[in-house]
Amino acid sequence: MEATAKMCVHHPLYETIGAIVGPKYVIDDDFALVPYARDISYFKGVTPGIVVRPGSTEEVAEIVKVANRTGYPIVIKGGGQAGGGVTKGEPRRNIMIDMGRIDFLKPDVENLKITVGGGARLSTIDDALRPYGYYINTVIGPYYTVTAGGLTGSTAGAGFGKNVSSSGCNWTYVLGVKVVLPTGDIITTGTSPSSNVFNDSILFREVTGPDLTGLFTASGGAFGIITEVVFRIIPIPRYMKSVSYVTKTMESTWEIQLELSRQSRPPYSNTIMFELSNYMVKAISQGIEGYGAIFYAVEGDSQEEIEIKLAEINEVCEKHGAVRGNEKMDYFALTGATGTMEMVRNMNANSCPFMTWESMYNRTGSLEYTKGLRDAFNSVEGHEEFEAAAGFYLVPMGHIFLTGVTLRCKQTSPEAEEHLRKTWLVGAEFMRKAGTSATYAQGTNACYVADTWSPAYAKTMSAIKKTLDPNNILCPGLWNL
Amino acid sequence: MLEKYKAMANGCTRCGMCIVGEAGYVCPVQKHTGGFDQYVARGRNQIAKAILNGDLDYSDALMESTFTCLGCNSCNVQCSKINPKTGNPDLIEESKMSQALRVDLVKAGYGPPENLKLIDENMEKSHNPFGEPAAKRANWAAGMNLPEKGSTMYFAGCYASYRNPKIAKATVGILKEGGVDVAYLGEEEWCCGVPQLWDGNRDLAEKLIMHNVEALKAAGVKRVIASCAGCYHTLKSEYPAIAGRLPFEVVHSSEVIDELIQSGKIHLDQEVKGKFTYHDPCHLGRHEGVYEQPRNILGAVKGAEVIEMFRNKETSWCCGGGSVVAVAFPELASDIAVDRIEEAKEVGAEAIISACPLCENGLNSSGRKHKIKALDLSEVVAQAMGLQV
Repeated sequence: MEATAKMCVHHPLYETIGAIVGPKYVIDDDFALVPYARDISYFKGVTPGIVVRPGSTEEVAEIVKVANRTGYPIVIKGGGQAGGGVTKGEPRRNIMIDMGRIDFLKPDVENLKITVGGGARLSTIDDALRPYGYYINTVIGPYYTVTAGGLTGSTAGAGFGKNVSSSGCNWTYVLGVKVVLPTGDIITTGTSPSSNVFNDSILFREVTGPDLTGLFTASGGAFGIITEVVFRIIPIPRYMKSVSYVTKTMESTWEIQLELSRQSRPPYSNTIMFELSNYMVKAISQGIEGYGAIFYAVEGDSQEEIEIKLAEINEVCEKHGAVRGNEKMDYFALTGATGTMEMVRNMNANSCPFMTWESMYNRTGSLEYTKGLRDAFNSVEGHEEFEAAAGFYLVPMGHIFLTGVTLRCKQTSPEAEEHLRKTWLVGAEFMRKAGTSATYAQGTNACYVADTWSPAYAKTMSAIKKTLDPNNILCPGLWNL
Repeated sequence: MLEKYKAMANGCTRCGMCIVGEAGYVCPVQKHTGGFDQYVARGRNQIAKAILNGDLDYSDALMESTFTCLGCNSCNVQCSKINPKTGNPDLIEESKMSQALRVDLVKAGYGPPENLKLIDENMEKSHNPFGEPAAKRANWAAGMNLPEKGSTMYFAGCYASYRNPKIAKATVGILKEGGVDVAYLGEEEWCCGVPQLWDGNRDLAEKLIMHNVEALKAAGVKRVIASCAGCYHTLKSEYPAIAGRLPFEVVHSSEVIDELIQSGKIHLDQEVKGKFTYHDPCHLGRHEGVYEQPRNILGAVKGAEVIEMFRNKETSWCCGGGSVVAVAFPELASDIAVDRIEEAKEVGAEAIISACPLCENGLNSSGRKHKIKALDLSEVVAQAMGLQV
């Protein structure tokens, strides 16, 4: 078989890259490449030619320079938790840079920021800040696995924090990034970026000139490799209380969401579950009956503040016919809607999904999008057969940070995966027509998103890519570039 | 053998919870190797899947990552897979898969690593991994007049028999004081088989296991007390898979000692001053869920200040000695032991207490230059009872 045949034949860059990072941190054995071929989705895998785990920005830059000299493309891996398919590049030739080793954490409480390596996991960032009484506004789903660089560079620009519906997305909390450009040059964005030769540290995002941070967030790595991220840090609220409601209809559930997101007293975090009869939702809805459920965790600096917020939530929920949930649900709200292990265990990591969600904040058309997508998926023939054979199901749901549809499969098989892919294509077509952007806009998924770009936008992006990456070394093909 | 775990391999969602969890990085081996996915459960599951699907052949290249798994179950307790119908955990038994992968790899003609071949030879020759004469196994019990038959049997294990007899003497002394009359198989006690379960030599493991089961049956045993966490887990949870339902129960000495203290049958009257921290042996803690009893015991020792390490109970860091890694990759095992020693020093502990001779040995070997010692729980209890061992 190919595995044994290749044993003695190294990737042409094995020695060169090994000399940069040390032989311990480079692999090209066929068996060792297997885990790097796929993310958590059912998108077909792409096996790299070699995988390297650099330990610093400078090592990344050296690898990029080697790639430019030799013409081998580079693809990037963070936590491996992406749901959009891995970046294709050139199968069996790609140099995959696994960022996991660049995981340093430098809290700077005095300046209300933390500088972390691109490979730092979100949970470890919070671990480092907790003793100081701070946290970062970050995603909660893949909390333990996703890396700072992966998140900032991909999921809609630093992701959706637990308070997204009340406090917005995470990109506002990214003060700056250190990036290795496709040429191997290193720049720092944010305040006084590397153009300032006297100080390349980032304090606050107060640039006196164009700020390039936004170019790299959510770029998927097409324009540069994020090796360092500076996040603004936030005090951990002193008080927290949870509450839950059972809702009547999909429409009323969403009305509650919209109305509350217009309230003036953030932050709160919440989770919506549509369709309580659904397999996955059943597992976490604690046996309650009703159309859907909303779980809230309210934060504040005094008991009075908490009570005021809870009263506002109660008023809106009751107005739309929702009734109070039980104690079990309230407990889930506290653990589930605030990003603990229970949330992760229950919702985010049970099967390899296709996710087609968009951020859940006050956005016109989100409900129609979710419903339309669900109906589009349901129009694909064969669901019932696959439900019986492989536990196929789809979940229209609001999430702490997202709303949309998840396609899942309890038991994997080639047939089930193929069915999921087929269904997914129907959804992708729907999204294109709806003009919405999928989250997890990475790899394969990013190309679907790029299909919705206007000609002028696509032309601009292409020009930027050509300028920054003249040899098309970094993630070639991503965003159809 | 791996075929048996096909559904589990297929069920891995590649979510990566086995890499970082509530107490930071999960896998000690990942930390001390290049850190690639092949060293962690997520990666190994994908490799197993590729093998089972015929996309990958067994080869020499697989040896290192396959034989470095500690079987510590750290990844297993982090695994986030749940059964969507019930909402209950639907965990991937990573340790079992690792064992199976080793068996199949060896059967395919690759491995085990050289050091483990020597262990196999020793085991065939004298039923212990050290190659010590079988006749010396019972030396520690000389003068104790332990019967060879009885309803309660003490299973000393190879480490306490040959390397640290204090543990066996202390355990039996404590049990006797508490009115628990134990028998001892002597030379008829063979290695529990855990090294062979892990080095891929399943046939030899089965031979050792069947011998012990027959010897225990012949001795009329109803209850086996093991002071080694590895022996305890193997006897309790691995034996039934090979020998069928056992006619005896298996308990760890810490469970019995805790009972004796709670019921007032033994008294820890002597002061044992010092700052201690308890290291959960993986086979006792994560594999069998025995977390509280050793802590109860230490809490009952007068003068002992007990401090928890940051990583404890389910998130405890392995000592590095699990699943014959200490034999096959001694440097790796030592590096991992040093992690644990540093964690103990961070909380100001003067000694690490464990309930497994293998952990104690590994921590002591690596801890010498760090000026911290490791003790077995039985030694501390014996001292607190004023027993001379």
